[in-house]
Amino acid sequence: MPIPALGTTHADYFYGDIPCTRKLTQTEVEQAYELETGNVIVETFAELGLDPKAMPGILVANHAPFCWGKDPQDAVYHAVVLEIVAKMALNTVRLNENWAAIDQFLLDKHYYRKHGAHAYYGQTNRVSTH
Amino acid sequence: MLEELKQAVLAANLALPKHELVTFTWGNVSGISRADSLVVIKPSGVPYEELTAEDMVVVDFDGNVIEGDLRPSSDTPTHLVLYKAFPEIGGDV
Repeated sequence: MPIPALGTTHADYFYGDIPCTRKLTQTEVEQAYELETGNVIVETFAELGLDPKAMPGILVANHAPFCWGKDPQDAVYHAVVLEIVAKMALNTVRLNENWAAIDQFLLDKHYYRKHGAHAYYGQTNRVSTH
Repeated sequence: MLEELKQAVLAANLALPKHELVTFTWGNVSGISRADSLVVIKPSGVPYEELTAEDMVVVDFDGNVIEGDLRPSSDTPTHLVLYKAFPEIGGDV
């Protein structure tokens, strides 16, 4: 299942629910497993109309998360964030059966204060990747 | 070849156990040189504590090993699909 966007830590790095792919078919697994794993990620992004920069990771069904970024360190950073927001989402859903997604305006606020032309989070005169 | 990228890929791989994202030799990070159309990726099945920059494997977009004595990560074809489909990304895990 996708990781629902519930809070601002999620919104800081992942613009919306983190998707989960469909399962691979038996043919896909047996004939070109690793290639098809990549293909199902690309297929899911195309179907959902997602931007890989705004959604720097995905869950592959029954397998694992894959994350990416502008460089190898950035990819690992997103992998760490994904684990943290997954744990927070799991705990939220367990604690509160009335859990609800983050409001779109708060998601927008957090995502766009760190990303894009009007970002203002952090310092502009120091080298910082996040 | 691509020494700077190899160091970056090694450092990113070593960050996986540091952040408790992986166990044993699981997981892998790669990085791409778009200028060279080459990908640097962790070798398959080597313990993280033994990894060196020279162990990193350089492959082309078809998965051919261009440099390196070890077999590349088994996930290499997955990473190559992502680099081809998502031209704005520079690293993958």
